[in-house]
Amino acid sequence: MGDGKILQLVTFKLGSEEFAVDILKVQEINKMMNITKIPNAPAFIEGVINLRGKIIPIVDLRKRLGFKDQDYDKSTRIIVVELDGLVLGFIVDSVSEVLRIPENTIEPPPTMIAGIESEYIEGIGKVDDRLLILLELKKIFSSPERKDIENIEANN
Amino acid sequence: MDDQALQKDEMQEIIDEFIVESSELMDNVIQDIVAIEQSQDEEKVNGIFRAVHTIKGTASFLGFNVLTALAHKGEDLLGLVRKGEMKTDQEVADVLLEAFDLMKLMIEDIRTGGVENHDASSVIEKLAGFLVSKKKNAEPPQEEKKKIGEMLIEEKIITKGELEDVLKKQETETDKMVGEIVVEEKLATEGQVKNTLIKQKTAGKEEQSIRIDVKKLDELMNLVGELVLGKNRLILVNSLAKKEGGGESVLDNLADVTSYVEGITNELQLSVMRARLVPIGKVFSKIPRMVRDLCGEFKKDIELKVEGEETELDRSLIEALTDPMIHIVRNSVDHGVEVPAEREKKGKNRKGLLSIKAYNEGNHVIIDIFDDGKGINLQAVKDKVKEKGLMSEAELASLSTKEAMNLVFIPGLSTAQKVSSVSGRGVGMDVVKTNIEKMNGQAYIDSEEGQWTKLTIKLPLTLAIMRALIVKSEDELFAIPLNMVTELVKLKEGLLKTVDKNEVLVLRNTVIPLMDLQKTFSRKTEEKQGGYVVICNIGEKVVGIKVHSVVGQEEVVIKPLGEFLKNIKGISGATIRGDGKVILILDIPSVILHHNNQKKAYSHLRAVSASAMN
Repeated sequence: MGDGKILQLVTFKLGSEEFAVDILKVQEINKMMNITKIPNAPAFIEGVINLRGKIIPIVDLRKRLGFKDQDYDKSTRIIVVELDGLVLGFIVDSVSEVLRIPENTIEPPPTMIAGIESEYIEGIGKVDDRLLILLELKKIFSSPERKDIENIEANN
Repeated sequence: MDDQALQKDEMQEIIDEFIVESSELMDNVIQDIVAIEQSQDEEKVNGIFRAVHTIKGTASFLGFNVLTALAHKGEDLLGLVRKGEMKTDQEVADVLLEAFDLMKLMIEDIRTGGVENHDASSVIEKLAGFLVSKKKNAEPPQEEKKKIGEMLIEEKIITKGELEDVLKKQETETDKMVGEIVVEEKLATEGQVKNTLIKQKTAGKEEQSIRIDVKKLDELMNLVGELVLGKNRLILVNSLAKKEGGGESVLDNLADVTSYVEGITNELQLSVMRARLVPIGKVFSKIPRMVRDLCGEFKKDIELKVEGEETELDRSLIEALTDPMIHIVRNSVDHGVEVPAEREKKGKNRKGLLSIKAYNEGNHVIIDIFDDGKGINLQAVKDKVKEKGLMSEAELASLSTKEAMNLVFIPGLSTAQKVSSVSGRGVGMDVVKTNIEKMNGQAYIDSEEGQWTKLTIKLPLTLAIMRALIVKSEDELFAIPLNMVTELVKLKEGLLKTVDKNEVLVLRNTVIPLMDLQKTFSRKTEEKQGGYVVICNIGEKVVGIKVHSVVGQEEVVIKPLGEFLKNIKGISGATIRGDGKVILILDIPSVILHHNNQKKAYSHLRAVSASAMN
């Protein structure tokens, strides 16, 4: 315990909340691009983009986490991440900075925070007086959610 | 230390090579044995003998002793066959097949575990038994190679008369070779004789080929894909420059470059595609053996005819085609062709016929699988569909014979059929169809009850690049595979009618069901008037797809949507256009399925299969 491992996090904003993901998972950060909508896809999937010849799906994180819709603007970014070999991107309001914080300052998530179910949260990081919500990316893009959607379709 | 490790690596490389080579050889050998069981073919026997000899040699060098012993005995028996001292009747073929199956298993053992795990003693004994009992006398084998003199005549270098003179001369000067005398007599130059000698040595050898890592080819294909995109972009820039103006010479240059790049890209694309093509015989090669075994299992007597093995297909398709083909052939033997006694009663030839034919048609490969078995009982199929509540009586009545025939592809239908065995076609035809459609292909069936069944598979030559029609629905562009499109109709007053609340298109007195891309895919509902209908032909079905406008034909590079989005209904992939924008490729069969949601049949089915899968 307390071996003082340092985490590097990319922090970004949705509304007034600050979020963070492990920098090792982040492949690149892009400005907003032209998104092709996919019919019949789950609602939180905004569409696909052409990332230098590769087609990758884009998730609107606002929709995914139940935030209110907001128009994209100059500071809107697409964070491209790699999860288990899958490359995908998600849209955030703005990207703030890269932070280094000791792993042991991260606390387990409370049951409910900022209206987001805690299963999507890996932990809460405290930096000075800021609170960072560490997202559990795998859960956010995970299959149980997709299965639910498929089931709804099948039942209709 | 390092040295040893290096040697180990090298050894592993040799072993890997051996596994690849011998697996390939074994597949050919097994196929050829089934062939020589039917009719003795000297060349095939020699081929088998050589293959087994090669495997024996390498195996013994690598120290796989059990495999070596088995191959050795097999070679002995084949030696007798080769010399004509033994006939390949069913018994001999059986034991040889047993031996080679075992050899295949051992090679697999070596691949997975490094040593052969199977015991060969019983099979070796069997082979030895044959060697003792079946030996009989026969003529010694004939000389395989052609004589140099004969070859020179074939090459039209010397005449027959000249050769006879030379041969006479050789009788007196016995230490001289025919070639030498020919040169001495100035009948031919030294070069000509040398060339002929080389030809003599290489005669009978197989065509040259190299083995390429598929990964490398895939990379190459990807690059070509990019190049095609680049070409598209250049074309776009060219047209832009034309529109917006620019110096005359700039335009000329651009036009020049464009046409150059276009030409070279097309050629490169073609040749890389060709490099990926593999003869379909790879898939067919397993069939004779399978039919033979199945005939034994089900007590059937079937003549198998295979045509067009040289027809070429993309490698990835070959792999994906194997399972469906096995399925179809199994079905034909199991449920299609009747047992001999039953056939005789029906006044058919005792021996059934199963014919498999592959051929090219434009940019497609067609595979016909025909059997003269009991065919499809249409009424039974319809009854089943009705019984399952998949379609109403009226719907069934409105189907054409061909459409009704293709009901056998509905999932869930066939399983029940097998249990009650009302009709011929057994399990999993829906899987066959789905697999074929995944390859952008089509599958349809035709039959005459009591007489025959023909299943046709239509596949594109390659998966990576295809021609597509780009259409616009609202502001979104979509690509429709051109191989499905038969015609375009501009919408005019009076062409559209409503039948049963469904919109249809009346074209040259035929009624074509319509689906509106906007309604199926869009979240908006406001109607936009006018537009086009793209008539698509899927198997025996004709449908019209309503779109707002048509952009044109384009060559598109198919990109998968990835793991995350692979099951989106109605979309088979995406492509990137010249301007970098992603557009979606429509999966027409599934679009129709999706559209037909109001037809309870399919949605009901999907719910059933979804709950079955959970």
